[in-house]
Order: sequence, then structure tokens, then C-alpha cells
Amino acid sequence: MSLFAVGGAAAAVPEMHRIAVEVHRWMTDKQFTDAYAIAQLSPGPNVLIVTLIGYAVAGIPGALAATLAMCLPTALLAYRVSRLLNRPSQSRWPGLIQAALVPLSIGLMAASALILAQSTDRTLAALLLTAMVALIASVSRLNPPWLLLAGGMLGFAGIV
Amino acid sequence: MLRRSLAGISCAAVGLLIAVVFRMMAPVPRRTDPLALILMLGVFLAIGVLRLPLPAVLLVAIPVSIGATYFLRRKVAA
Repeated sequence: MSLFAVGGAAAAVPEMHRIAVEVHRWMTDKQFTDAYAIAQLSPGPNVLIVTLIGYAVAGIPGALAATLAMCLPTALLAYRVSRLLNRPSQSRWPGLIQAALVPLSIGLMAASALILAQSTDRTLAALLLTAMVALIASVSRLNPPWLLLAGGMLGFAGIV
Repeated sequence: MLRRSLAGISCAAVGLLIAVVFRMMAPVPRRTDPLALILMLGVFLAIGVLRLPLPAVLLVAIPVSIGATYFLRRKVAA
């Protein structure tokens, strides 16, 4: 699945959600969004979400298997591709393919946002918080962890 | 308690994701082609709303996008 994640782990979220929640019913909608929140909050790459899904399904072995399965194929592919790109050539294909993939990955990320929003934003307050964070993060250069922390505090206070 | 904090964090995380999408989208319309917008919207609808499987969608979308970009560039160059 990782090979399809054009545009990072965020692009694969809808597919993970479809498989883990809708097809196999490994976890509930709520568990899935919690896993996403934890993966965002912890330092390190956001692919950590697969580790958490693996853990929920099959414990520690599941977590290890999911992480390896997610990272190994793409790591190998990235290695091959970067060797190819480093070879001097006049080809315009790399740039062209990149330009062609950008809109697709934006579409995928927007779909992730929609799916996650559908399962977290159940109340008006939650919806407002999401909208506020989106606005603040768009217009300012505030560090993302601060916004996550603020969200956590609002949740803790029982507002969301 | 942890549950409630996590609920707040996930709301904020979704907000951050939306902000990233906005940021990436900003340069796209200015690059003139409606093609990118159509593809973007198509992928969004297929995955986000219709919930089609990702491999199937990409199997169609990637060749279409690469092909269309190729022809558009040739037209611009000619």
C-alpha cells in the first residue's frame, strides 16, 4: 500500500481507514482518529500511524510487521529512483511526472482531511476548533505542536 | 481524561492537515491549467466521497495525469 501513497502518509490515510475500519472492522472510527492524533503528536514521521494500527490488530508483532511492510518497499524504491535521477540525462520525464503527480497528491490529502473530519468533528465545538486551527496554521507560521497542544488542552477541559 | 485530550488533539490535527492542503493548493490555479484542478477534484471525490479503493483510482488517475501533462507541455512548446 505504501507504494501508492503519493504525497506522504497523509495520502494513504483514506485507504488505511477504508481497510482497517470499513472492510476488516479491526478498529472503530474513534480508535482510528485517536491513532492519527497520536501519530501527529509524537515526534518522528507520520507513518507511525501504521505502527499503531498494527498494534491494535495484533499487538507488538503486528506493530513491527506493519511498520516494516510500510517502510521497506518505499525505501527500496526511493533508493532506485534517486540513483536513476542522479544519472546525468537530458530527459524531461522526471520533472513532467512530478508535475503530474502534484495535483493527485493534493486531492488525496484533501480526501484524508474529509474522512478524518467526518469521524472527529461530531460536535459544533469540535468543528469550530478544526476550522480555527486550519485558519491559524494557514495564515501564521506558528509551530504545529503548539496548536496540537492547545487542542489537547481544550479537549481536556471538556470543551470539545 | 486521556480520551478527552485526544479528542481535542485529533480535531486540531485535522485542522493542520486542512491547512497543509490549502498551502499546497495555493500555487496550482496560478499555473493556469484547469487540468490540475479537475484531477485534484476527481481524486478527492473518488476517494473522499465515493470511497473507491485507492489502487483502482490511481491506476486510472496517474496515466491520465501524466498523459495530459505531456500533451499540454508539447502544445506550449510548439
